[in-house]
Amino acid sequence: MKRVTPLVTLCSLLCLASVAAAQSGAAWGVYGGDAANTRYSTLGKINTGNVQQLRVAWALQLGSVRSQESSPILVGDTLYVTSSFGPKNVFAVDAKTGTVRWRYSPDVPGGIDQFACCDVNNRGVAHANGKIFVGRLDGHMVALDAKTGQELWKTQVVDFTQGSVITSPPTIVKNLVITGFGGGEYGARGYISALDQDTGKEVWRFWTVPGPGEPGNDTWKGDSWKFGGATAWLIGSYDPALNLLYYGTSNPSPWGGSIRGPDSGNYGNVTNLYSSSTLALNPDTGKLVWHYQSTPHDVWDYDGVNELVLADVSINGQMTPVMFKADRNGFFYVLNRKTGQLISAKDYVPINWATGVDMATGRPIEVADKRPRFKFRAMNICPNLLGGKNWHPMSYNPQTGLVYIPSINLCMDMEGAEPAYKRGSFYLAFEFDLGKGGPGGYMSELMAWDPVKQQKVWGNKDALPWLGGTMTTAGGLVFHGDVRGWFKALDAKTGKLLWQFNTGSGISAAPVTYELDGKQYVAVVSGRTFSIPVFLGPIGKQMVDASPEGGTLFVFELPSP
Amino acid sequence: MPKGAIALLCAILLGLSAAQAAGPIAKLRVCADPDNLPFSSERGGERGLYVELAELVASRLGAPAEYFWWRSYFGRRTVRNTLLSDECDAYFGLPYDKSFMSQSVALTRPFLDMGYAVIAPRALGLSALDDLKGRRVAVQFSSAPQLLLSERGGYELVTFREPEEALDALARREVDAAFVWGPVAGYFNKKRLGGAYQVSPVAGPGLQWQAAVGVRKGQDGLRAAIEGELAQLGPDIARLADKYGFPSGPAIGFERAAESGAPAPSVGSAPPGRSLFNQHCSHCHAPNAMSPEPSRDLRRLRVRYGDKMWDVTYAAVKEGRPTKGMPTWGDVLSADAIAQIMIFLESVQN
Repeated sequence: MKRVTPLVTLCSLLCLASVAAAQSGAAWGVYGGDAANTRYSTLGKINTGNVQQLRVAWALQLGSVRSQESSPILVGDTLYVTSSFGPKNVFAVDAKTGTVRWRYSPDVPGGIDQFACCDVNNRGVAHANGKIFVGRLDGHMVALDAKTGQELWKTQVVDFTQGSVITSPPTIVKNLVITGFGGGEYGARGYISALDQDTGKEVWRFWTVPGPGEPGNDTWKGDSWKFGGATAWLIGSYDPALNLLYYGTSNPSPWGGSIRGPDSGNYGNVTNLYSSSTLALNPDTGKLVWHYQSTPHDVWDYDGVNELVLADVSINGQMTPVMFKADRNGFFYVLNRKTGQLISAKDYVPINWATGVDMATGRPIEVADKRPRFKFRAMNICPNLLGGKNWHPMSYNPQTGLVYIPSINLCMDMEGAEPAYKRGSFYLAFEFDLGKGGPGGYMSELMAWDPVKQQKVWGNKDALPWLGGTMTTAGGLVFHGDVRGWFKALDAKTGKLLWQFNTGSGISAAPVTYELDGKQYVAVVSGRTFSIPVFLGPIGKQMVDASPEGGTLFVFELPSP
Repeated sequence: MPKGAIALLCAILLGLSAAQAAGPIAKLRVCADPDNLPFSSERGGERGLYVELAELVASRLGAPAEYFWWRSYFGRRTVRNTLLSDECDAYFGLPYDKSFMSQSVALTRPFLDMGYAVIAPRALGLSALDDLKGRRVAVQFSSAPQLLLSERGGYELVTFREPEEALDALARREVDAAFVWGPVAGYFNKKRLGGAYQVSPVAGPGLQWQAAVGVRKGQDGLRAAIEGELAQLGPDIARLADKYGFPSGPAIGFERAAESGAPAPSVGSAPPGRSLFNQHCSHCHAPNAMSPEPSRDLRRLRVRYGDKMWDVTYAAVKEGRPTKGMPTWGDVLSADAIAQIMIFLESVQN
């Protein structure tokens, strides 16, 4: 870290809130491009004028064919990429040629897919000080020697047999490697764990559901806090100037609201903190600095983990340190990331469960008959539990001032209980129907959203859901994939399709870009989602028919002049 | 012979044996959890009711039973990973529910009733749920009793992830009663509590089930053969249920309170026309007619058709607009229902 610290300090002084530096340049050193998760690159050699000539430089088969969600990172001239299933493989490859330098293939327990609620995915690794950090489905965090792939330490973060798996790369802050895990579906009580990069020892742990005696514990009915969910299963964001670490948290557990509080929208203070929330922590201590709960007393599975994109924008003529969150609940939130104050919230997809957000309380204004309750099936709730946007990352381009969101337009019927199969026993047979196309006859939309005006600037609608994550560049481009396997480059200003390439399998993962020896590359992992179609009935069938399963990293370049 | 040819031959033979539904069954491949007493266990000693029953069925079929052991943490996924992956052919103890994986699994008739039970010291003299008011009651996380007792209110619920944890707490007197899956409670009572506790089935929505044997859809011959043997094995099943301590006797009911205590669904507070609209029309025209797609936005009917709005709308709903994708609703909705929908539409005009 010694090498990096002066830069951070310098930036803290020069860039005020530092986000101007929080953009990817030649390297793409972290999952989200930068610690602010902007997925914006200042590279412009590939641009609107020449992207039509983009062609495959090399490809790497990842060795597993199921639900690829990984974004590679670049360190030096080595690209690090993971496959699904554990990960089954972590590869270190020559970023110019794809030649494999080492491969790490951990022994993941057989049958582990039983414990992963939403597939056996892995979204990539993190790097710091010559170490590669990998979170695994079996609840372990490991540190690998970045040069050799040798395992340096291995720490159990959580017991996976309780249904808690790690699928996202950790967040790197100073000497810490910070991670959460999944399991909001299975009754985990979430926490965020900070490990020492050198030893793997836990430095602090923040419980995302407060225990007895802690503030917020009284926002739970009875002892429901014990299995309250609120897991932080995506990557966090970090602002070095404010020294704040940000994480989103999942839905509360179980889904049925009457176990956790009143079975109505009149929940008072029984909001189930800190579920479906955004948290700001002091990374030195793990103490909570502020929180904002987007879906209080959630019964829709409006999991609040979606990534927090940090930016500085002008609000009422004042440059303001903000964060953007395209919440699953259908609202696009802009918060002051220093104070947690709500600046604005606007529906970015068709929604009907709430009519807006009360700016005084920050709470959604609910539509009563859209809240599923015990013995009450709420019909046609939009969005469905996959959300207005799922984990697929959005990106923010400071040149256009726009956020590029892979949004979803689906609805659902839901009742205030879930089919809870218990080992040896049977289940509560309340089914939910997620496979309802949303209003307007399309199921997803790649949209450019003006976060200050809170309005859509352009949108490309798609007849199928599950668009891939996005990445945007100073070349005036937005890149993303779709479930059919097309990898596309769009004009960031207009959304016009400029180039596309068929990767042969659906793309969920977000692309990256990097430069080596003066040449810009664009990389994306292809491999269609496997488990999501199962939830979606006939729509799922269309997704399955759209492309076969796969697992390939494609790297693109411009032809040599 | 090259390997490929052998594989092909095997595939053909297997295909034949599957097709010959009525033919003899060479072996009974049973899907079972390796560590889930009183239902099944891979270890020596007690093998569990499902395994003992499978042995009886196999023996009557003249086919040895073989087991594919797989932990059954999550129901459907387990069935996918075992039965539907062709690792085994018969899954003992699936819920007899026609909607349970009905596209891929065929069920026999049920062979055993089971469900949740309440276990408490006999001294409590438990005969109704109200006897537990104000007491510490153990429930399993995300189980039907947890939900139903939360709904009723008035109990001090103590939640556990595993039923064994709840039962251990009961044995330590940390709770006054526990609601867990009946066979697990009965087996625990028999093995660990010397049968000293009262174990009573509980009745109510989602609390009682029947167990059946599942096979892959299309395996009608196997399903019929197993079903035939199960029908003959009634006395043996009863003996096994007793051996493993499965509870029997009068059930303690949730029903009465569930009826009186359930909140009135607030769907009634929505105008009837809106409910009808959302039920029948929202698929294309969006919930509450708030379509963002202008051509389907029914909030613009007045703008579009002015004074003729009623006539045009009524005709379009009743007779449809086949060329524009609008179905004919005249056969589906009564004139009164259409009128209700139109009253609702009137209320949302821009």
